[in-house]
Amino acid sequence: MKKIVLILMLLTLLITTGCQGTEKHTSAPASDAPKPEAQAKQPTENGLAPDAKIKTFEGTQVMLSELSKDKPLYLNFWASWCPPCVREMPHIEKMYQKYGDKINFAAVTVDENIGDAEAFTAKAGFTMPIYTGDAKQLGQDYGLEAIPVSLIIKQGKIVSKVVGAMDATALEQFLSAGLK
Amino acid sequence: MKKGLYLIAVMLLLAGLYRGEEQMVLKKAVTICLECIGIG
Amino acid sequence: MASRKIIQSFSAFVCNIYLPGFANGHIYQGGIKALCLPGLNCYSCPGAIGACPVGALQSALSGTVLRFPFYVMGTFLAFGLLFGRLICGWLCPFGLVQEMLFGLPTRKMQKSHFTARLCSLKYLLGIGLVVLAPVLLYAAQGIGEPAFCEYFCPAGTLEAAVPLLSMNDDLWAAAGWLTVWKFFILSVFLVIMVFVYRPFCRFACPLGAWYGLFNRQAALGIAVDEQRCTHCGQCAAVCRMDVRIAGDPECISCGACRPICPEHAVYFRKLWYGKNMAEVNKN
Repeated sequence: MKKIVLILMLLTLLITTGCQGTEKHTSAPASDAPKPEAQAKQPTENGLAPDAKIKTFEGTQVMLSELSKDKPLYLNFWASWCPPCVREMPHIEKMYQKYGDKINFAAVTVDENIGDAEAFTAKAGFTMPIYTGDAKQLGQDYGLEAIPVSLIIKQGKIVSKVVGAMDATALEQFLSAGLK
Repeated sequence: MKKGLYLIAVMLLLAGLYRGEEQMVLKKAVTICLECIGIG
Repeated sequence: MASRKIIQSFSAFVCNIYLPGFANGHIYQGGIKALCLPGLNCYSCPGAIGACPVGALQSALSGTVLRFPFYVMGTFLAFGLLFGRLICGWLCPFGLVQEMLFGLPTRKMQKSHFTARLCSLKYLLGIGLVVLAPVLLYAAQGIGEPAFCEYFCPAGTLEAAVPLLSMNDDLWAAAGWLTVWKFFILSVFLVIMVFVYRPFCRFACPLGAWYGLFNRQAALGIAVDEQRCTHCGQCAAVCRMDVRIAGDPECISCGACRPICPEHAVYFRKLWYGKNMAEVNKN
C-alpha cells in the first residue's frame, strides 16, 4: 500500500516537473520497505525529552521529568479540534486502565481554548491524567508541527515516537517498548 | 447595499478578533492535523 | 498577458516564501499565519506564510465545539468584496500551477455546454464538503471534520502532502489509505489540467465559487460598460473560462477579452478611476 503512495507520488512529481521541483526523493530509499502503521521510530536528535511544567485542569502542577523518573511515561499531545486525536483518546484511556500501574500516562492538550479540551474530556469521562501546558513552548521543544504525537519517555530520554493516531492494537504494541 | 456588505465584513472581522479567533486560526495553521491534509 | 504571469509567479513566491521549509520538510510556524492568504494555498505547504481561507474555514468548523467562524467569514467577505475572482486569475498559486500544465503542447479540450454545466459542481462541493459535511459530522459523531481538505483538496496534496511526505519520515510513517485516495484525486486532476484549462477552478474550487458571487460588485476586476455593450458575445468566445459575458461569476479577470471587445466596453474596474475606466480604455 505504501508502494502505491510512492508510485503516485513519483507520478505526481513527474507531472509537475518544473512546478514543484525543489524536493526530490530524499527519503525514498528508506521508505521502500513496507512498514507497519505504527512502527516505533528512532528517538529524535539527542533523544533527551525537554522538561516542562504541565498542570491538570484543576491546577495541580507536575514536571514531565518527575513523571518519567520511576516509571516510563507515555506522553500524548492532542487537541479537541483535531479529529484523529479525539478518536485516539478512548484507546489511550483503555491502555491507561490496563497499564496505568506500570506506566505513567500524560495526555497534554495543545488547545488554544483550554475550555474546549476540558469540556470534551469531561463529557467523555476519561480517568487518565490530562494536562495543559505552555502550548507554544511545548510545541517548540517537542517540534510539534503535526498532531497527535505519542512518545515513550524513560528517565528523561525519548525511547519511541509516533506521529499520527493509533488504534488500540497499535497503541498496545507501541507501549510495549515502554514496558521492556 | 455594497457599503452594508463592507460594514458586515468589518464587523465580522472585529467580532472574530474580539473572540480571539485569529489565534485559533494560527494554532490550526501551524499544527498539522495529519488526517486533515490527507495523511492517514 | 505577460504581466499577469509575472504577478501570479510573484504572488505564488511571496505566499510561500518560507524557503527553508522546502529544504527541511518542516512548516512555517510564525504569527502571520493567523492571516488568510487570498488564494487556495494549503497552510501545510512547507513554504506557506499564511493560512488557506478554505482550510481555515474548514478547521474552524471542525472540532468538538461548534462555533460560528466570525473571523474567517469576515476574511471571506472582505476578499470577495475587494477582489472577487481577480484573486483566481492573478494571485492564486494553484491557478498558476494549472495554467503551467495547460501550457504543455498537447491537444486541448475546448469549452462547451458540457463544461459550462460542470461549473455548478463547485457550488455543490463548496456547500456540501466545506460547510455541511463538518457540521453534519459534528452532529453525528460529536466532532466536525474538515471534509474538503481531508478527502478532496488536490491543492493540499500537491502543496503539503507531496513535499512533507518526501522529506519528513515521521509523517511518511503515518501515511495510509487516505493518502492513497488523495494522491489518486491529485493525479486525476493533474492529468486533466494538461488538456483542460484550469479544471479545478472551473469545476471544483469552493473558494472561486464564493469569490465569483462578488464578481459584479468587487472593487477591482473586469467589468462591462452596459451602455456600450451590444452583447455580441466576442468576450465569451475568446475566454477560456465558461463565462457568458466578461465579469460574470465565472470570470477570473484575466483581461484577455479587453482588446477583443469591438465596442471597448470591457474595462478594469479600479478604485481610483471609478467607473470612467471605459473612457480611458478607449483612448
